[in-house]
Amino acid sequence: MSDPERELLELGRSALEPTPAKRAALRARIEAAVGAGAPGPAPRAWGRGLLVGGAGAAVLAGAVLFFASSEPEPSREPAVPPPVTVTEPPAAAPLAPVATEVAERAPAPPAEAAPSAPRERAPRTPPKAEPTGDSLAAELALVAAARRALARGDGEEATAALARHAREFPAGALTEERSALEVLALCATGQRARAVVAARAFLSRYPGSVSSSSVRGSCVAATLDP
Amino acid sequence: MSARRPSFDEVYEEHIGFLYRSTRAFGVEAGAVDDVIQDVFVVVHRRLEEHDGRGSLRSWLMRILFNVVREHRRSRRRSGERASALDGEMDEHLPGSERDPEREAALAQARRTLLGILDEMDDDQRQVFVLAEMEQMTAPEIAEAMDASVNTTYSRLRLARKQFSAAVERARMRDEWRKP
Repeated sequence: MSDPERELLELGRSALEPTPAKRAALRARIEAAVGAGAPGPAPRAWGRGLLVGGAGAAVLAGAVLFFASSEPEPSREPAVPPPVTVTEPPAAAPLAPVATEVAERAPAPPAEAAPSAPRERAPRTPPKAEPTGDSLAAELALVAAARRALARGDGEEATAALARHAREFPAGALTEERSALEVLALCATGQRARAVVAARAFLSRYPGSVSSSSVRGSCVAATLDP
Repeated sequence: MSARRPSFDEVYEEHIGFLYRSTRAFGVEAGAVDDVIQDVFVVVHRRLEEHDGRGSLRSWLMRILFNVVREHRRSRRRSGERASALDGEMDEHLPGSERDPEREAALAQARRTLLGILDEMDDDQRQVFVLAEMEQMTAPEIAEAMDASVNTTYSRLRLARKQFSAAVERARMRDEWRKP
């Protein structure tokens, strides 16, 4: 493979990486979906701690940003199965009904035939018994609106969405996410001094956050300790 | 042969990047990736206990992703929507580039070019190419995920590499041509 080909693949791979904010939002969404009474192993293992993000998560999120090949692959198996298992049926055989299962669970209603613009949708399987599913969806919508506003450089609108989140969900599930975005919004509106204060507060409150790399990489970068 | 089964949390942390990148690279539009990833992990949550640890976990996850993507396309077709990998691409956030506008531009261009090239490949070749060249999966792992023979996998990879080389060459010539 030539150098330009290799370079395109490496850069493209980095660019397809989910951002730390995206990872956190996806986690929250999936947590809401699997916590909604879906049968499965130990939902407790997929509990509250997820949104906070452990140090391992932060390390992983940081490490994969630019150095694609450094992503740990601890579960990689040897390429060739050992002789004793050669005669076994394929391990993945029970997967056949997967697509049907997904289709049954989440039929696409015709009303959903929306334009192809990117959408931030609420979880498709909101927990019926738990009111938190709805509020999580509302939280996600606000945080996503703030992120989109920041992506197009609209700090004012991002600030408004974040303020609304703070008002409606002062101790919401996405408080950590909001706090990180607040730093970026302060940067986007030119309030660097306040951004520095907010960034320090964020990093001391959420030392292992998956969002810490985006906070550290913002306009406060030069001011923070390494 | 294999040791303890990883927890759902571990599977998420270790493989979310792999699944997310692959989903985009397989041509799922930016606005639908979250739905696809959610569906994948709902299935993983239900079935993780069935993974006996003998085969590669990445192959197992990839089989789930293939199924979910197939179902996603089917439902798109039913609702008459046409979608391409590049839909919504411009609005999609770039990871870790806040400090460096030059890198941001390079990442954005690479993503557009790469997705455009992959979009031209047929499904089988694209899948093999992405898993081998972007994700460094071995041919036996890919064969297991795709339910194909290792020979078929190698031959798809050869064809895909050829197509990729030619497309990169074309993109370079086009960019040279455009330069002032």
